[in-house]
Amino acid sequence: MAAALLGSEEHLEYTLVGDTVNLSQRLQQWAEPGETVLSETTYGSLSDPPPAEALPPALVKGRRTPVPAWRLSAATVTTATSAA
Amino acid sequence: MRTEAAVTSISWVPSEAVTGATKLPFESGIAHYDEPPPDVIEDLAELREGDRFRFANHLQAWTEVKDGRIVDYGQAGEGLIGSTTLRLGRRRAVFQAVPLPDLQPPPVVTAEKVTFVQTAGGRTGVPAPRRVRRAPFVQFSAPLAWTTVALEIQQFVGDAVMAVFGAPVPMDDHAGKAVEAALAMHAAQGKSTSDGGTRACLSSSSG
Repeated sequence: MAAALLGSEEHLEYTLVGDTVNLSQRLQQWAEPGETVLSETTYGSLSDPPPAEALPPALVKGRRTPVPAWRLSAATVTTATSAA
Repeated sequence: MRTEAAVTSISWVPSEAVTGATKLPFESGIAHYDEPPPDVIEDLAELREGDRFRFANHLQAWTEVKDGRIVDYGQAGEGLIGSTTLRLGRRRAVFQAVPLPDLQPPPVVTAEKVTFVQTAGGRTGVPAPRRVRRAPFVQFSAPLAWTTVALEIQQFVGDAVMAVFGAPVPMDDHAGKAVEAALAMHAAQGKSTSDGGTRACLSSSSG
C-alpha cells in the first residue's frame, strides 16, 4: 500500500492505493446494507474477535486464488448499537 | 475529479546486451552503447536529442470522475524512435529510423476503470547483421523494434469514505479499532435512518 498525491496540477488528492485498498473495495461489494465484511488478515488480527460468519472463499478481481472473508453478524451490529 | 497518469518504456543498448560478432562495431567505436536512462524521466525530448535511447513508447491518459462514475476519458502520447549514429575516425553519420504508425485501440471502459493501450516502434536506421538458419547464415536488415504499453486508471473508491488505521503512524490494535469504527458508523446511521432506507456497506482489510 502506498500514499500518493493523485490528480492534476489543478486538483491534487492525497489518497491511498494498493492491493489492500483494492481488496477492501472488493469485500465491500459482498456486504449487504448494514453489514461489515472483514478480510482474513483483519479478522485474524483482532485480539477480541466478535461473532462473525465465515464466508466461503471466493474469487475477486485481481486475485488468482479464492479470498476468505468474515461477515459480522447482525447481532454484532445490534450489540454495538445498544452499547453506543 | 480528474486523474492523469503516464507510462513510458525506453529501449537502449547496454553493453551487456551485445554479444558475439555484433559486438565488433561497438567495440571498434563505430556504433555506441547507451548509458542507462535516469531513474526519473524529466524530459523525454531532451533524452532523445542526446541520443540516449533507441526508441521510446510514451502513453499519457486521463479520466474524469463525477459522483463516483467515470464520465470522460482520453489519451495522448506517441512512439519516439531515435536515430542511429555511426562514427569512423573523425567522421560521423546519423541515420534516421523509420517509425511505424502508433496503434491506439479504443480504451476499454468499465464502471471501475479505463484501460489504455499503445503500440509503437519502427525500423532502426542502420541494417545490422543477424544469424539465420540458411546460407549465407547472416542477413543484414534494419531491426524492427516495438513495444506495447498498457495503462489502467482505476476508480475504486468512488463515493465511498476511506479510513486508514495504523498508517502512517503505527497504532496498537489498529484492526480492532477499524472494526469498532465500522460498527459505530453502522450504529450512528441506524439511529439517523429510522425508516430503514439506504444504509452503509463496510469492509476492512489489512496489509
